[in-house]
Amino acid sequence: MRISSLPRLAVRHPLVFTGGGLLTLVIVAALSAPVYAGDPMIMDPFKLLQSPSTQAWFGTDSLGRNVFARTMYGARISLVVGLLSTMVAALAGLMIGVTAGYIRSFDNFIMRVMDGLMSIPTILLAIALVALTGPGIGILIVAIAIPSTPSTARLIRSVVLSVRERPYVEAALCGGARLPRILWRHILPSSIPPLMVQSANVCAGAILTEAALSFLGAGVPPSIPSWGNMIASSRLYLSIAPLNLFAPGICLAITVLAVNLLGDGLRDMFDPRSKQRR
Amino acid sequence: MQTQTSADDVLLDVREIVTHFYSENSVTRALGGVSFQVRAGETLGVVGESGCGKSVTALSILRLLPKLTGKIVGGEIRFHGRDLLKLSEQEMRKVRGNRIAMIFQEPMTSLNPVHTVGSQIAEAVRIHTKVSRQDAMAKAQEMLALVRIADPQRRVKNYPHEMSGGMRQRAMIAMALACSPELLIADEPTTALDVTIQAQILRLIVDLKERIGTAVLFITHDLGVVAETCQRVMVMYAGRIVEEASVSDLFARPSHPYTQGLMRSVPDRRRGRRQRLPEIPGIVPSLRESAAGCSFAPRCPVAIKSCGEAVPPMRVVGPGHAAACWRSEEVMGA
Repeated sequence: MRISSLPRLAVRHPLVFTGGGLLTLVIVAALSAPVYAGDPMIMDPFKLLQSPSTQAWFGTDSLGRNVFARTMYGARISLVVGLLSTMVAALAGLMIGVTAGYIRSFDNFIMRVMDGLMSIPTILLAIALVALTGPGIGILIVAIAIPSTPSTARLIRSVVLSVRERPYVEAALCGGARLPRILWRHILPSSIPPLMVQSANVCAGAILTEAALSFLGAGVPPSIPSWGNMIASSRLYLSIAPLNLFAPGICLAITVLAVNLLGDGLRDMFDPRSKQRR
Repeated sequence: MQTQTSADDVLLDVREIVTHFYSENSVTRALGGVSFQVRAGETLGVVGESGCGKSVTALSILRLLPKLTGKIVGGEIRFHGRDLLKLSEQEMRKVRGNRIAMIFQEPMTSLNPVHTVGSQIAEAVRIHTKVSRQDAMAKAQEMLALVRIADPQRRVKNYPHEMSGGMRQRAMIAMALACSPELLIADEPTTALDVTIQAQILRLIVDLKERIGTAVLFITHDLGVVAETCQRVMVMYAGRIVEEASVSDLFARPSHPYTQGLMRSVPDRRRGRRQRLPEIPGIVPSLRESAAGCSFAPRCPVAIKSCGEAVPPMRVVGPGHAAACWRSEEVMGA
C-alpha cells in the first residue's frame, strides 16, 4: 500500500485505519524496545516498588525491575504467540476446510473430528500440554492454535461448499482443469477475505488466552516478561504500585482492541453490501 | 434412424446412454437410452422443455455429472471411435476443453470475478498446450478479437464485472474455442441475453463454427433459435429422443405428437388476436417412477391403447427423419 492512499483509507475504512494503526504502533514499540526501553531483567533490591521516575517511567516492580521496559518487552510475547498461533490455526483451518469442503467423502469424518476438538476448553488443553512438556513459547502456540482451528475450518468449508457450485468452477472443469488448479485459482481466492476476518478474531482471542495462561503460570517461563505474568505478580501490590498492574493491563486491552477493530473493519471492507454505507 | 453414413465423418456417436440420479430413497431416470450422432462440422440442435434431459446429455458426454448423485448406467459415447466412458479421468481431462468444449447459459457467473478475462482465457490455453504465459495472453487477445470484442488489447485486462452480458458470453465463447475444439457443446448460450444480443451471439457462433470447422451441439428450448442455427434437430422428451430430423423436415412434417404440440405453442402473428396460445395439456411425467410405454402417452391427443404398453422405438419416417411414435405416419399426415 502506498503512503498516499492512507488518508483515503482513514476516511473510507476508519476501523481498519485505527485498528491497523494501533497494531502497527504496538508492533513497532515491541520491536524497537531495546532502543529506548532499558533492560527489563536487571533487578535492583534497593529500588523495590518505586513510583514513576525519569529512569523508570512506570516505576519498578517487587523485584526492582523497570516496569516500563518489561511492559514493552512483554508486547513481544503477546504478539509472537498471538500472531504465530493465528497463522498456524489459519493455515491448518484453511487446509482442513478446503479438504472437507471439496472432497465430500472426507467431509463427515473431518468435521466430526473438528467438532470434537471444539469441545476441548482452550485453557484446559494448554495447561495439560504445558504440564506434559514444560513451559515454552512453542507449546503455547500449539496449545492455542489447536482449539482455534475448528472454527476456521468450519468457516472455510462453508465458503468452499458455496464456491464449488459456482458456474465458473464448472466451466473450469469443462475446460479440463485439474483439482489443484481449481483449488488454487478458483476456490482459494474466495476463501481469503473470510479467512482474514476470522483470523483477526482468532488473533484477539489468542492474545487474551496467552495472557490468561501466563497469569495462571502455564504460559511462558516467569523470567521472560509477559503481560500475563506481570499482572499476576503485581496484583498483590495493587494499592502500593498500581502501575505495575495497569501498565500491562492497559497495553493488553489496547492490543486486543486494535486487533478486533481491524477484524471488524476488514469484515466491512470485504462485504460488498456494506459498501453503500461506506 | 441410423442412416448409415461413412463411419469416419461421425465425430460423436452416442449410443443408448442411460443416466440416473440417485437420492436417499429414489432414482431419477434422467436419460433413458439416448442415441444420436454428430458429424464433423455440423450443427445439431437439441430442443425440449426444462428437465427433459438436454443438459444432462451434455454433462454425460463430458462426464461431469455430480459425482455422488449422478451416474451413467449404460451405453457408449464414442468420440472419434473411442468410448469416452472407458477413458481414465486423466485422459478425459485431455478431451475436455481441448477437443470438446462447452459454453453455458449464464455468462454472468461462468467467469470468475477475481481474475481478468484475459487470464482466464489464457488459463484455458495453458491447460492444454505448453506455452508461456505471454504467448497464452497473446492468444487470449487474439481470441477476443476473433469473437469481435472491440479493443481487445484493453479488454484482456478487464475483470468480468467491467463487461456487459453479451461481451461476457463472447469471452466465454473465446475461452471455449481457444483450443480449437472439434465439438462445441452450447448449453442454452443465449437464454440469459436480450433478443438483439442473442441474435449477434447466434450469428457469431455460426460464423466461428464455419471458420474453425467445429461441430456444434446446440441445446436450446427455443425453436426459433434452432431454425436459425442448426442443420439437424433432435427433440427430447422425458429423457428420451422422440424425433430427429433435418431442420426443414422437422418444421414441415413434425412426426411426433409432442413436436407438433411444441410447434403449435409457438406464438404466431397470423393467429387471431385474442386467441389463447395452444398448450400441451398435462405436465411432464416424474422421472422417478418408470412407466411402461410411451412417456408422452398421458398427454398425447392421439394416444391409443398400445402407447401405454410398450415404449415406441425410433422408426424411420422419411429420409434422415425418425420419430419414436407408434402412429407417426398418421400424425405426420394430420
